[in-house]
Amino acid sequence: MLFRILNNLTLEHFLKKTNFYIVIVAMFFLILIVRLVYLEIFAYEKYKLLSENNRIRIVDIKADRGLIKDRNSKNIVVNAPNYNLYVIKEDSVDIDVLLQDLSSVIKLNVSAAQKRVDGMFIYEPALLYRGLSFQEVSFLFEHINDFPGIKIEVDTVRCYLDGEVYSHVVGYMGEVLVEDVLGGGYAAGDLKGQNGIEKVYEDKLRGQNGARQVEVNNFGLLNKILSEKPSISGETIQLSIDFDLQSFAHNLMKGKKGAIVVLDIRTNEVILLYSGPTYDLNSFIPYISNEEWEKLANNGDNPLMNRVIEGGYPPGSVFKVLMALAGLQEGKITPEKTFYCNGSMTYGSFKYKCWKKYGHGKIDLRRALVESCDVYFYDLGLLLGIDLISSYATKLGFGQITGIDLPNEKAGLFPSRKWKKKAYKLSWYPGETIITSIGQGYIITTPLQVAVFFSTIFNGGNLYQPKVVKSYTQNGEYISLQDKLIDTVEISDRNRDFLLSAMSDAVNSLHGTGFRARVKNILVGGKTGTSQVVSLDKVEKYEDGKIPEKLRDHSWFASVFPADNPRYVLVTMIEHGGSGGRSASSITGAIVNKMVDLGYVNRK
Amino acid sequence: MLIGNKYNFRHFDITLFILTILLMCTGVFVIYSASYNHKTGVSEYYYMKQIYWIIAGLFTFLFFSLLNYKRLVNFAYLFYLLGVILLLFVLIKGQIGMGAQRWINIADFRLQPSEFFKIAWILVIAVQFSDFDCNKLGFVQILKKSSVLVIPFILIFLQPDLGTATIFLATWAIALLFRGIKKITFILLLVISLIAVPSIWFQLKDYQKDRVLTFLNPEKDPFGAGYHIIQSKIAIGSGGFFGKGFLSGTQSHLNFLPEKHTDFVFSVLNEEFGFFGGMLLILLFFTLLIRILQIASIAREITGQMICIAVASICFFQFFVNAAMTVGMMPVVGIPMPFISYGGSSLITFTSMLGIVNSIALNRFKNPGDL
Repeated sequence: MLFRILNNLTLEHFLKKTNFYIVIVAMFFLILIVRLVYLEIFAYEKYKLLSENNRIRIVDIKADRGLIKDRNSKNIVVNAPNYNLYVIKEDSVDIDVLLQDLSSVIKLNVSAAQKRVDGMFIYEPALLYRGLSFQEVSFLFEHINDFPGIKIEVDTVRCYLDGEVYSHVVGYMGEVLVEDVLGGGYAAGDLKGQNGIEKVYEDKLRGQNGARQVEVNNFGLLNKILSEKPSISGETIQLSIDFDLQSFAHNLMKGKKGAIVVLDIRTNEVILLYSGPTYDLNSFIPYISNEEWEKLANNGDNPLMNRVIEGGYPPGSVFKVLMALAGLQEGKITPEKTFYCNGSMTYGSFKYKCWKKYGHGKIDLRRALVESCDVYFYDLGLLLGIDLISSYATKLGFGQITGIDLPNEKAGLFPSRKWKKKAYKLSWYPGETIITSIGQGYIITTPLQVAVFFSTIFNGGNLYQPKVVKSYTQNGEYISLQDKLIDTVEISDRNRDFLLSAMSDAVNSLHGTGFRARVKNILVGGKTGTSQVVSLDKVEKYEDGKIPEKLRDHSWFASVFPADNPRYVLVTMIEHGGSGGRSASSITGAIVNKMVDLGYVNRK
Repeated sequence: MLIGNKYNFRHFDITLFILTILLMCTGVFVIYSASYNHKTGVSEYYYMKQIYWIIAGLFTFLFFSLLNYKRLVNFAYLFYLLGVILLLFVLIKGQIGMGAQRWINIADFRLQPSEFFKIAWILVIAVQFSDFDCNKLGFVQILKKSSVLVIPFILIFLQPDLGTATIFLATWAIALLFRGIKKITFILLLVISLIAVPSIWFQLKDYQKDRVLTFLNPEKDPFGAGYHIIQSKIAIGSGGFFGKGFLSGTQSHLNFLPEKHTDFVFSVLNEEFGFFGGMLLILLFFTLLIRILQIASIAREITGQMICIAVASICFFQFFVNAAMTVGMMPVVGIPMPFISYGGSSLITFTSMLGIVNSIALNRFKNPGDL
């Protein structure tokens, strides 16, 4: 029976137990009371004192940020000491007066400073000014008693071997946002990588802050260190970038807009990654002023954009390499296959022109690549159809990010029937296949995508993720980044060798479009490309060489060398550089020469 | 006699009701102060939410008062089963909060099944120990009775919520001690638990180990949990006899005390109202416990009596552990103070339990079998 009344004997036992229980509870409560008596009455004075100035505080010990080295272990980013001015409101006598006084000594924006002070927790130091000069530091230290509540702390800022050469790779630092403070374990005023390697490898570079438990005196000044947890410095990052080569490219690209990228086919390491115009990383040290930031962000030449991975351009004739590869692999053509070029091709009611007004005549694949005949590829395009072209392009990395360890990479675009239906609700026209065949129309690629595409062809068909970081340290030991295979494409050795020899002819033969990229004793294979910015008839009225810069075509040159034993891929893209045979290929020639000097390639 | 008189409001336990309200109101004051922002001059929304919960809590108190507790006792194991299912559910699908899975989100509410399971738990305890007599329990009997403890304990332990798991274990242990254990068995159990402790230790998450170690030696980690204990002690000690005054606590308004509206309410109370305030709260709780135990004595039906013992135990254990933690006598475990700490699930659970106790008082003159 679940519910029952206890008999008298049991009830008495129950009551006895209950009373005993009350006694036990009372005893426990008594212990608690005794403890409160001790804390609040006997030790009152001690705790009152501790609480009054909140004398026991935790102070962060900032960890040193990790260094960044280039591939030859040259330190390209290190840390430099920097003096910052903080104020603790609770330690100051009158915060408004203090800020006024300070503004007469240093260039302090009082209203911005006030806002920062208001945003702090009690006894949390507010960062007022970054980068005090030595004069200011010594003045403030001499007159420290006139400024109760201030604190001068050394922290570190980045110090660059060169502020402009590798801005887009390394990226700038900036102050953390509120979200980082609330959820990311940062303190207000901390610096954090905002772009480039500094951003992607923030967690490795950042290190772990230590802490110090201190007792302070009435003025908030350090009295005694009670305990300390040391900080752990950030890891060192070694880039695959070559600083010397990068500097050389920087000089070459002065006054030009565009991108250069060199990719090592065997290691998938990016040795050179340059985007012009560049910006000065030093303008972010110790912090960037609003005016300067506005100037950078609103600059029409867009110096903040990393054109290698963020710039989207039609690849132009560089794309013909993919067309040739697809045609050969699919068995639609052989190298001996000829088409007839009379300067244009008529399809439907449209006339598609070749760049050579009077035509190439009867032409085979090799000559079509060497002389960049458009009509040949129009025909080939129609033979392949958009579906095959699109599937090859996608397999070779077009229309998707390469996955390089840099932020803000753009995927570009490669069109297909499905895409057009979705984007325009229209079906695909054969005419669009024709212009796609010479790398125009809807296609948007980044220079890095072209480099990865070339690398994939010449490494035997493996699409790898490129990287700018070679290795990083972990507990003092260097750990190399693993290669990441994304996809494989079947490419026969015969077809690869044919493309190589056709491309080296494009540079080295009499009629080759890329003759400006010739380098003494080094066999360079390459393909020029010209991507139209506006349609041909708009620029036809101008004489050659007098076309306004904005309307000039983008100039491409994608190359591989040494052509007899492919090791490096170099892609150059010059915005509004005119035809690819001109500016891009001559820059390519200069870079290859420099790489020979630096010992990357041996002259025969 | 009063048998047949379905709801006799003369026996409504007004003392219990008033004590509940007093405790909950104290809670609102402390929560208001704990989440008060001196910069803006307003308190965060917590106290308003707590007021809504109190209103809901009063309704649950009345609801359970009017419901004959025997109906609940009859379904004790059903509630137990439902509770276990909820605990399983939260373990599998629950929201991850503070490194532990403790909540289920329903609409905008975050329900904590381990809180509600406490209601089922006191009912199960009552049924298990309704065989109360003068004989003491032997080892086998204890083992048999303890089988119901295993599943919920493991489920909550895995969340991992060590604090709440101990609550279930502790109330069980208190009920067991109340029931009476043979001397030899007691010694045997003691030895077993001494062996069990190390094996549980290896199951603990690092942060839990840290907390226990920190308690044993606060100097070990003066930056994390140890720092909180130090700050909590400073807050309480600097309160003195009468405290610093409402909203005038300095320590508790700093960023030093974590979860000050849940785990560290006792520190805030002591800093602002001093020893006087702390004593008042201790007395309030003591009176509440005595009142519950008195109802246990005057009730004439054993499941009702055992429910009272269980409810008193859970209130006592949570209050004591929470307070002892803030004064540095126990490790920092996330056990809220009943009625005072912020949190809807906890408040509703405790008002329900006191409602059941009130129902025991209301129905105490009925025949055992009458519903």
